[in-house]
Amino acid sequence: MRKQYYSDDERIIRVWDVEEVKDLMARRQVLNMNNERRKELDTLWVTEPKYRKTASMGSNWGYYVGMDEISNYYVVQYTDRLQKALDEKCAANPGLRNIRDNFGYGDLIAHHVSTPCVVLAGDGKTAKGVWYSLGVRSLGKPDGSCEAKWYPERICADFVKEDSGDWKIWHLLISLDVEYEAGTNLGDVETFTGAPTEAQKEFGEPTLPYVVHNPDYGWSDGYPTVPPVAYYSYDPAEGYGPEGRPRWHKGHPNYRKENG
Amino acid sequence: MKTHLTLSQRIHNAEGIQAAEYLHARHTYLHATSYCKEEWGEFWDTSEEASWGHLFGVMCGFDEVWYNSVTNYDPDGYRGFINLAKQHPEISWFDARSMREISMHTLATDIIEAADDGKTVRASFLTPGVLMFAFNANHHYRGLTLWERYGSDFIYDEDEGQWLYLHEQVCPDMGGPMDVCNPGMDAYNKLMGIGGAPGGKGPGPGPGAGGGPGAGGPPQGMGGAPGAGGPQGGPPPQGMGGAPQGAPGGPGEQRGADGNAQVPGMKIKTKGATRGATSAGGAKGEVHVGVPGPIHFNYTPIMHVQNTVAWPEPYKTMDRENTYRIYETPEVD
Repeated sequence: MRKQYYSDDERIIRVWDVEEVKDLMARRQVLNMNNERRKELDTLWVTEPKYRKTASMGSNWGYYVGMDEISNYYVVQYTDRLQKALDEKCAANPGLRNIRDNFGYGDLIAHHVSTPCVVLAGDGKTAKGVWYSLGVRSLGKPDGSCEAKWYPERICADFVKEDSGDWKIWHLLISLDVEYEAGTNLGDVETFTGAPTEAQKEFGEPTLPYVVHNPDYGWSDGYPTVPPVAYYSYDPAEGYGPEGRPRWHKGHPNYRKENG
Repeated sequence: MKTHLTLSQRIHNAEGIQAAEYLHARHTYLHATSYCKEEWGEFWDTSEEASWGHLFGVMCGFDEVWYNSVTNYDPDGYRGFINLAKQHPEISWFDARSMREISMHTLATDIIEAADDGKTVRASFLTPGVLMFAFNANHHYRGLTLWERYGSDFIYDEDEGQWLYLHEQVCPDMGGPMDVCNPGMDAYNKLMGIGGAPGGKGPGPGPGAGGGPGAGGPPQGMGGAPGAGGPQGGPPPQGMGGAPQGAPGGPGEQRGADGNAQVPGMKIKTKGATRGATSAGGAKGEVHVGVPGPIHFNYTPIMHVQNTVAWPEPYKTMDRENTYRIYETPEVD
């Protein structure tokens, strides 16, 4: 006999909720690709104060916490970099106008997502999901050439259904497996170099700076924990925000004094 | 719209379609983590009807699937881990199982149908995958790309009220070393027995983190000799991603005595062998199948278009016409 926990109305809402969450992540990747980062934060991320305060954007080197911090890093600092890059491109190419519409001129940034694995909480208030992205970035240079790199990565997120009934991104964690130049043999890429990658430099100085994931050891550090499995209600310790990833404790192979 | 079904039936089928996507993705992430016990132990139908197939044949019944994918999988990972721990003592208390390669067979282009009777769901996927070995003794990555197709059946367990994996057929098409392969030229060279395909200067094999099977555990490796320290069919060491031992010839010539000319060195045993094998790791690399292959062929420039796992059509109930289970070795032109 089937265990009936939900009415038909509740069941179809749950089916629809999962689709909404997948749609949200797809839109996030497209806005990121189009340099519409402000729009992404304004339309896809949490809006209610209780969630804005605890929202986070993480990567291998830490977390930005709170929408203000996220916005400063993800939009303001990024816009500064775009302006600087455009200044250099305009200096080399007088035909190129130094206007906002030309931000990202010569760039292609595509972190398309695949392999969606989404779990809706039993109480229907939150969801979590993981996607895999064979991401690519090709950044134009002032001389007209470009530098293209691969970014294979897990993209993990917690979502919350706000009081409005809309699903929003609450915690986002991008767990990069390797960054390397397109067209090179991955077998020529060294591990354990200790040198910061471009992605690490770009990640700046997060609110909580520490090793979240060390790809030199593959996935053996067990975080982020994938795939998400069935749960009833949201538990921060099991989420993709900073509370889900305690600092490496002393003695762990990935522990580094400088990050302690 | 399936208007002949009630709203409740359609909701049930919509849940089943989502479950197919979720279970396959869960399978994928567990496989990439090399958590084979969870991959195969948490959401598979455990009956004799369960099957998992690859180009080399079909494992029939859950015992055979488990033997190939768990019993005969973990020991290789531990061997590689122990080798690495000699060089990296700091990993001694790491999770040994997930020290292996990241076999990330991403899922895309899914087409999913639920049976009118609500008892099964069928799904086809294309997978542009990557296999990355981060932790190697030589402190260099290793990596392969691997493009495959999947045909997957799922069944509804009415007693438990949950969907389970029932059948899977994996059909690899092409691949090669990241990011320097030319799959078309590699296939041509392999066919003609010409040298090694691109793979670049290899940093040397080293003990490796266990090498690794591909989608679902059993042998995978696209056209390479088994990697040093890795199990059967694991991605080859860097620089060995080209033509393996000899060219296999066209499709018609590929059904060798072991039914598996495409995965050099693999040992195949047919039905009955599974239950006799008891020694963990003792049958290293040996794959047991109830239905020997070939089921599908790696791409060559002289082959017909293959539609081995055709997308699922709308269907009423699972039967021999509507399943990804292969019961007999198919005839090949």
